[in-house]
Amino acid sequence: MNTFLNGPNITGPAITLDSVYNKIFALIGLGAGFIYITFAILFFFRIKSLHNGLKTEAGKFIVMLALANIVVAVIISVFGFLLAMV
Amino acid sequence: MYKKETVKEKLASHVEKTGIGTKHFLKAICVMPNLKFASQQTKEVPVLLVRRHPIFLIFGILSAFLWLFVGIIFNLAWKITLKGLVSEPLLLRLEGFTLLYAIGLTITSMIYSLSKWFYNLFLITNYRVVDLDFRTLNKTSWTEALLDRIEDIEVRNTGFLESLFNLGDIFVQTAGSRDKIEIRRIPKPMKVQNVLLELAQNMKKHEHIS
Repeated sequence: MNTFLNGPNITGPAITLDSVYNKIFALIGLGAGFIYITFAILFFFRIKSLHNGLKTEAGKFIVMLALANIVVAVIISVFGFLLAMV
Repeated sequence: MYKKETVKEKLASHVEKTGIGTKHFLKAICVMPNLKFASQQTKEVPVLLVRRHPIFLIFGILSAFLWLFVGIIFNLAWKITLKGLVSEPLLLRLEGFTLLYAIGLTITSMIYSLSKWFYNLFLITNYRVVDLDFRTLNKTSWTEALLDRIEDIEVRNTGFLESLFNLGDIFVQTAGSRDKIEIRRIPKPMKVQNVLLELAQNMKKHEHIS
């Protein structure tokens, strides 16, 4: 049979709904992590500037909490990204 | 001419007599707080630090759990809408992802609430009154007024919670300033007003430390 009459023989992985969702999920995972870490960093610098304006003992604790928040954001973002990508 | 320590002791004994608060820094009203701020003068002594009633901190921390609730609702929504459409492992990953972010945002929201409560304050020194507002991530304001420029101190008490817990709002009107110096929902507003009035009167009579 002439291949021209049959049309091109296309082979390859079929596009399923799963693969589309996987791509969207990976993008969301990446974006959410980026936004979360950016927020945590901005929050830390805001608290740091407030602490510089008003120095207290308890303020140091709040700064440490803001720093811990960055760590939480990084952990959540990394694990979230892994979940979205793997 | 007094020494700074003598003045501090005098002010401390005077304010403590009013029974307005304790020296504990995480209380809504802290008497003679141990702090330093950027524009503090050498003989300036912080007398009173006032924050919103801790009940609002508890509300803020409890409302952080809304994120967990939202996470659970989303997980249910995934199960209902995506079951059969996508494979089981993908659905599991999606649920794990949602729950992970719900937990993270709950922790972040708690820290944010605590910071907001901590840095929304009203500081009264023997020279001035300072209003520090931490509203949002990109909006904070620091307003100061010298005590001798205070013209009027208004206390408002409206609302159910305010009546129940003896809370009120304080508005300080200063000469020639449009900046608002205010703090809302603080405990014992009348006592705070009295301390502020006494210090302002002393400042006007030049009885403060000099």
